[in-house]
Amino acid sequence: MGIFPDRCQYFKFGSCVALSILIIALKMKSTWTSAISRAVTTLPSTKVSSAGVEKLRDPFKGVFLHLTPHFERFKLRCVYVFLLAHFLNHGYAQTHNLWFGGGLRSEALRDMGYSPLVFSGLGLSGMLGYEKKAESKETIWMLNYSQAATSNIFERKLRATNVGLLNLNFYPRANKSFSWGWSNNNALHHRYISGFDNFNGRTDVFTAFGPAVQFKKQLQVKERNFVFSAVSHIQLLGFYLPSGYVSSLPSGFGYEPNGALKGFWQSIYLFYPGGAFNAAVWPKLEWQLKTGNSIGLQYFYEYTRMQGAQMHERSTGMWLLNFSMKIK
Amino acid sequence: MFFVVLLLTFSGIISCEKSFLGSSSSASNSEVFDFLWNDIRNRYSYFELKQIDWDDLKDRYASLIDDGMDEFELFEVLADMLFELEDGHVNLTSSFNRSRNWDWSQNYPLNYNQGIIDRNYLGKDFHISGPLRHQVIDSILYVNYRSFADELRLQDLDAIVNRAKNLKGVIVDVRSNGGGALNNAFNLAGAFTGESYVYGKVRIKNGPCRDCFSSWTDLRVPAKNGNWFDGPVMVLINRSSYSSTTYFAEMMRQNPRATLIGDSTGGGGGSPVFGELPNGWMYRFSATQAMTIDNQHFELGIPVHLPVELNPNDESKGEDTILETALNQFR
Repeated sequence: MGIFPDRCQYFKFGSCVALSILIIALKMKSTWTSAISRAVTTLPSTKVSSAGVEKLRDPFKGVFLHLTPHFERFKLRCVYVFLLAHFLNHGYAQTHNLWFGGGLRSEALRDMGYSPLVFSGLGLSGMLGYEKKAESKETIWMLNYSQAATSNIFERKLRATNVGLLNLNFYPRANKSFSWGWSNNNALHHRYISGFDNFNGRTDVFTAFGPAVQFKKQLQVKERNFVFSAVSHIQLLGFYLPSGYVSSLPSGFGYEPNGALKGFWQSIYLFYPGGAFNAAVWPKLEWQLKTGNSIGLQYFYEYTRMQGAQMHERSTGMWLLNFSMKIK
Repeated sequence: MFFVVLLLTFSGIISCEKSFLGSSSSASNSEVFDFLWNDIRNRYSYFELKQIDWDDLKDRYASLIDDGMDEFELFEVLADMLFELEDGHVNLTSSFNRSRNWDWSQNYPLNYNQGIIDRNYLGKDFHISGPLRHQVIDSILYVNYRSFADELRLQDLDAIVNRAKNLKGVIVDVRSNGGGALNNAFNLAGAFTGESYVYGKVRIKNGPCRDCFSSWTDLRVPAKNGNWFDGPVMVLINRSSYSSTTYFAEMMRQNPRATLIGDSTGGGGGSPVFGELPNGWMYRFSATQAMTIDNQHFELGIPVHLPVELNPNDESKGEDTILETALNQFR
C-alpha cells in the first residue's frame, strides 16, 4: 500500500506540463532577448534613449526582475512536486514484472552535419524493462541500448549507438481495450564516421513528454493464453541538445569558455512540434505461461527528427524476443 | 485469422525504416554544385580574411555547370571553384582525383633537402624514437620529425629529453612537415616547458552569417609530466610546414627559450570539417579560425625569428644552410 491516493498522477502530469512551460518561457525569453539585441545592434542609427534601448534589448527585464523570487520558488516547487509524484506508490494491489530482451535493430538515418545521404544498416539491440500494473494504472519503464553499423549508397560507413529510457503511464478502464496515458522519452544518439578526420562524432540527447495510447487484447489459441498489445506515443514538449554547427560537442561547450550550467543552457533547444519530433509504435505478442511469466515477440519502431544547427532524422525498428518474469 | 492480420501488420511495418527518410537517388550536377556552394558559404571561416566574394564566384561557376556534363567535367568545375579559397585545408575527393591548392608551399623555395639531411647529418647511426629520428651533432641534439600524423608517445619524448641532458641545446626540424594530429604538436611543445602557457586563441563557426563565430577560447601548451628540457631550442620551419606544424611553430615561438629559423610556415590555421556531397564525393574546408596572442591569423603562417634560405652553393656541397645556421647559434 502506498501513502498517496491515485490522484497524484494528476500532480505528476501537471508538474510535467509546468516544467515544460517553464522551459518554453525561459527559452522564449532568451530567444526574444537575443533577437531584439541583434536587431538593435545592427540598426544603423537608433534614435532611442539608452534606457529605451535597454528596454528594447530585454523587454521582459522589468517583469522578470519583479518576478524573479516568485519564479525561482515556482521552479523549485515544480521540480519538487514532479520528483515526489514520480517516486511514490499508489494505493492499490499491484503486480510487478521485469523483462529483458534482445534482437536486431534496423537503423536508417540522415545527419546533414555529415551528408544529405541516408545511412542504413543492421545492428544489435538489448532491452531491460519493468512493468507495474495496478487496477487503475500501468507503468512501464524500458531501457534499451543498441548499436548499428550503417553505410550509404557510396559505402561510406557510419556507426550509430543509441541509449534510450522510455517511461509510459496508462490508465486502463474496465472492459476497454484502449487506454490512454502519457509518456516521457529520453534518448542519447551517437554517430561516428571514421572516414572523416575531424569532427567525426556527432551526438544528440533529448528528453520530452507527450501522450501515449495502448491497445491490449487477451487471446486464447488451443488453450494457450496470449496477450497482444500495441503501444504508441508521440513526444510534444521537452528539450534537446544537438551537436554544434560544426563541432561534435553541443554549441555551448568545447569552443566556448562556459561552465557546465551556462554551456547546457546555451546548447539546449526547445523540443516542440515543428522543431523536433519523436514518435513510436510498439506492437507486442506475448505467450503467457502458467507460472505467471511470459515469452514475447515485439517490434519497436521509432522515428525521430531534430532541427538543431544541422537537421538530423532517424527511423529505426527493433525486432526483439523477450522474457518477462513476475517479480511480485 | 487474427494472427494473419497481425503478421500482415507487422510485415507491413518492417523494412520501412529506410523508406521513411526518402531516397538517396542520384542528384543532378546542379544540385551537387548548389549543395557544395551552400555548405561552404555557411560554414567556411576565412571569407573575410581572404576577401573572397563567394556570391560572385557562384555566378561565375554556376554558369559552367550543365546537367549533361560527365563526372570528370563536374569535378573540374567544383575543384576550380574550391581552388579560389586558397586554402590547403580545402579538398574535393572523388574516386578518381583529389583537388587541392598547394600554392602556400609550391610558390616558395623548398628550403629543405631530405637527401642531405639523411646522408650528411643523421648519418647511419641515428636513433629512432617512435616517429622521431635524432642524432647528436657537436654536442647538440638534432631531432627530425616528418609528420605530426605519426603518433608521438610519452616514452618517445622521454628518450629525447634524456638524450639532450648535458648537451648544448636541441634543434627540432619540422621543415616540410605537412601537419597531422594537433595532440602530437601539444606533446612535443610540452617537452620544452615546465609549465602550461597560452600561445593563441581559437573560435569556430556557429552560424551561417559571415561573423557568426563562437567566443575566442585560449589555446594552451600543456606542461609535460616528468622530465622536460630546459635548455635552448632551435625550431627549423619552411613554407611546407603546415597545419599542426604551424600550430607547433607558434607554440614554440611563445616559448622564451626557443628560436624559429628558416622561412615562415605555410599556414593552415583552420581546422577542417568534412562533408559528403549528394553524389558521394567527400570534401573538407576550414571551419575555425586561430590567432596568435598578438592577433595574427595562423592561416597566414607563423614568421621566424631568423630568416634563412637554403643556399644552392651550400646545397651543392652537401650542406644545409638553415641547419648550419642553427648549429652555429650553439657553437
